[in-house]
Amino acid sequence: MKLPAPLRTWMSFAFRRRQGERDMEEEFRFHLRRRAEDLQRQGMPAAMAERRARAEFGGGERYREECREALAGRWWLELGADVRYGLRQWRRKPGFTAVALLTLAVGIGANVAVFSMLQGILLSALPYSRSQQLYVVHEIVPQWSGYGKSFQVNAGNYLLWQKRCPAFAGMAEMGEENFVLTGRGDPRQVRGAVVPAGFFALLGTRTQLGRGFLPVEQERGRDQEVVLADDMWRRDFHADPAVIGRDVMLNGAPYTVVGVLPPTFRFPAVWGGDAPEIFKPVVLASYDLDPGIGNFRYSVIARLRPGATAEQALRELNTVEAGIARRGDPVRHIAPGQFDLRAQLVPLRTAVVGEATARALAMLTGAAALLLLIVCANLANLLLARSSDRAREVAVRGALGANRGRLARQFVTEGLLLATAGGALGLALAFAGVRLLVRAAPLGIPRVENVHFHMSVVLVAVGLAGVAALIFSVLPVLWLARIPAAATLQATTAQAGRGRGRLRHGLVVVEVSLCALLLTGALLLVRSLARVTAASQWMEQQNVLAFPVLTPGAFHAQAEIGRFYDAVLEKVRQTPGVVAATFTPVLPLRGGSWGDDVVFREAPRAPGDTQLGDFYFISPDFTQAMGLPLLQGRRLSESDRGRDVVLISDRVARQLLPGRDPIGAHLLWSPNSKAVAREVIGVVGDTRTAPEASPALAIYVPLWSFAEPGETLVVRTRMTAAAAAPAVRQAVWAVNPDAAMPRVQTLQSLLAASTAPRRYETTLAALFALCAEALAAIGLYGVMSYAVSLRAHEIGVRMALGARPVDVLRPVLGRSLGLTGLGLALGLGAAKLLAGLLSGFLYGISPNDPATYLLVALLLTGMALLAVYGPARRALGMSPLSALRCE
Amino acid sequence: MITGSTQILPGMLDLLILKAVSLQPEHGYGVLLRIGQLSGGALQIEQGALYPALYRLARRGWLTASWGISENHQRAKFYQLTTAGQRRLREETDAWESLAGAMATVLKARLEEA
Repeated sequence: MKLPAPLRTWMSFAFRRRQGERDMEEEFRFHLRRRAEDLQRQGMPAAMAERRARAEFGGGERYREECREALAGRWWLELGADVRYGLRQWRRKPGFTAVALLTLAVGIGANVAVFSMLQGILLSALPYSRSQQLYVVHEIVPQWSGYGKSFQVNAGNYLLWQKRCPAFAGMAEMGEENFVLTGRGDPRQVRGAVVPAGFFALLGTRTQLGRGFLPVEQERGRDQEVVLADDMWRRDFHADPAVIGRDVMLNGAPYTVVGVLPPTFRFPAVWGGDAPEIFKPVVLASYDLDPGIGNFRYSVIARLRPGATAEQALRELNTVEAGIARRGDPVRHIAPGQFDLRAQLVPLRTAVVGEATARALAMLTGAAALLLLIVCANLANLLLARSSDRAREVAVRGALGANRGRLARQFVTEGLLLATAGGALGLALAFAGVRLLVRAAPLGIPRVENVHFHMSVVLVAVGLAGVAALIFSVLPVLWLARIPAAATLQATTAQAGRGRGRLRHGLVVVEVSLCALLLTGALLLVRSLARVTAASQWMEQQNVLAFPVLTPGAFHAQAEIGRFYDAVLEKVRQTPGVVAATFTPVLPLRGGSWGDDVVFREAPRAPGDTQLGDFYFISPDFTQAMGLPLLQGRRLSESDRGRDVVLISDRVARQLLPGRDPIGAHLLWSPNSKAVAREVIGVVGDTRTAPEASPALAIYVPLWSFAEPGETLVVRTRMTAAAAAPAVRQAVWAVNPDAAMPRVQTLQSLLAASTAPRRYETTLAALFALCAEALAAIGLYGVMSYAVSLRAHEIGVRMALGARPVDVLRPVLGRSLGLTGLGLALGLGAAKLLAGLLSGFLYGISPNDPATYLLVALLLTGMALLAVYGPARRALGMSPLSALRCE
Repeated sequence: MITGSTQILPGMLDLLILKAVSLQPEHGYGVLLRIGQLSGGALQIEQGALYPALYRLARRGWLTASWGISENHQRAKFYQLTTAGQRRLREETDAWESLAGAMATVLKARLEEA
């Protein structure tokens, strides 16, 4: 490979400069020796011959210099000199250099790290063939929007779409299903998914071993096949290629391994959480086959036919949906036309990333961009301060004959040097930052495994450093063009600084205002986090264990599950230290439960006026174990077994039974098409399905009515939860030694995890705001110490004449506070204008919250005082003599 | 003999070096000797000034330099004409000849012939 000539020259210059120098010296020595020999041969004495040879050779140093220029090219030579000069400047002003480099590194590092997240999570394509054709289908019932903006899919409706929507090349229904794996070490829970035949082909994935599912395997009884994800194959089967055809025990039944997915396969995690390790064919139950409104249980991924548009596909879907709505749903007692039904197409990437994450990333990108602006303002400020220092140097060099172009190039070189070093530092910071961001990311953030240090990210860093270099170079050059050398040489320092003072003040105002904006946003987020955390603390969370109990044996009747749960609870309650124990399918803050209409016999409503509530199926100890306070009536007890009773939450009582005694009211509920009236025996405190949701309309139905496998055991203990855990596990194993209890956790940590994404975003935003404040403080400090140094003379004289320090400092202090005040006003004004953008992230606090604005003002004023403190002390400590002498 | 009396013009030095090296590879001192020998000692070059010119010509790709052993068994850097250098030498020679010819014509001119 032949490099371009200038590059080759440069390389030979840069890397072989020393060699060239040595060669040249040797060549010259050889010449002198030969000449001296010749002269000696003509009869000249040796010493004289040597002198003569040197004299004939002429001005050695001049020719050496000319040779160097000829060797390297003059341009490169000067560049080398400029670089060396620049580095000398760094050594001379270590404070300036450190601050400039650090500032640049923080700006570039933060932006590159955040951009990496953005790129990896939001921008990069999903790892599926032609992934832009893939969509997730949701269903929408406008009348139920209070319960959910959109739902998953009714399998019967899905079957109709498959027949009647030609705009799709293929569709797949999938569901989450976990299994207990036995026979390979300790029983363990494996995350699984049920998927149809053709699912992997739909995504464009081929198995690395074996095959995917066949259509015939979607029939009940013929579905005993599984496909393994690569990581499970490696962990549980040691990557044995002979695994195909072998049996694995899942939930106590044998399943045959028919395929292994490649390591590159990423499951489209539309329901969040960790990726499934194992796949089983989806088998639709008979009650899943009827189209209807409700029973939205499956996630559906669809691929558009090449050439079809999403609009066209949505039209076709909605034609089917309208037909279903017109017919109504006799199974769920929905009259024809009573509810509307629509479909929604969400690009797969959007669905996988999720709205909340996308918004959070956008917010962080905005914050990082603001930080970058502050960095730029700060750098410009630093450079202006320094160029004032160097005015004299430039003027002298100009007077000695350096031309302007040459001087400008000197500054450009120095700027490039700073930008390169800062950029490299920033890149290193970003590299560490990305790793930290990924490591600290809470479970809820999708695609975080895809966040890497991409080439595009490095390019962004290079671009940012380039912009910085431009600022570094252009500013001093522009300024250079404006100074008349003679004036500078005559002027005192004080006079030289005047004109640029205004510009620097402007920059400080910009910095303070951007900082105020960022700080306001961050404080609002921090206070929201505090409120969310407080709002999720309605229950007594201390000393509570919560973990799913999975049993390998398949239960065939609900009664069997109920008996197992009863046996476990009895055993656990006998364990020393246990206060209360219960089973629940859903933990508070961890999503909704069974949703259904809540109607009381005592408060009838017009048909169609649906109030969807969350139905929890509980055992008697539930309210005590969860720490829900009893507000009215009594708790559930064993003596209620066999009776149709129910507990309701405070919000149900207040909203649906206003103005009457809720105790003794009757809930009309028709599960399994069998209408039952259940008597309300108690009212308990409110609960929430998500940290930021309003209190749910919660209905608590005794578990012995409905029990599902895989519910969560919640145990309240007298000792710390961790100390009680081993005994509780032993109690469960005493009932069934094959039970798997993955992740024994405390309720507290489970609830903390529900606010983890918010805490993560808030921490990052706060970190940016802190950086911003530090930068703004540096900027202000720079301007203030400069202002004080300009007044040193005046201050010295006035102090010598007996002025009080307060009087002397008043103008400086006033200037600092004035600039800060102006910046604050602008920043808070901008914050008010931009409040709407942030309101989506806030909880329980208005984006215009006056207390927050006041806090920002106080923080920045404090910063202004601090920034002026150092320079002021220096000025006061100066002896009048030295102050006078400093001109 | 390398000292002479005639001062050389700028631009001539490059041509002289190319010519000297075209006969056989030479080290710097050898180039001086060769020019002195060929001009019968008439052309005088300040010795040190030769080297920047050599370096310049090498940089433009007309000469290549390599270390070798000189006739008195010392390590020396030898310069050799490249293909591009040969072409350059021809062009320069042509240009010089036409210039010298034109100069000669002009200077020989008499009034009646003009």
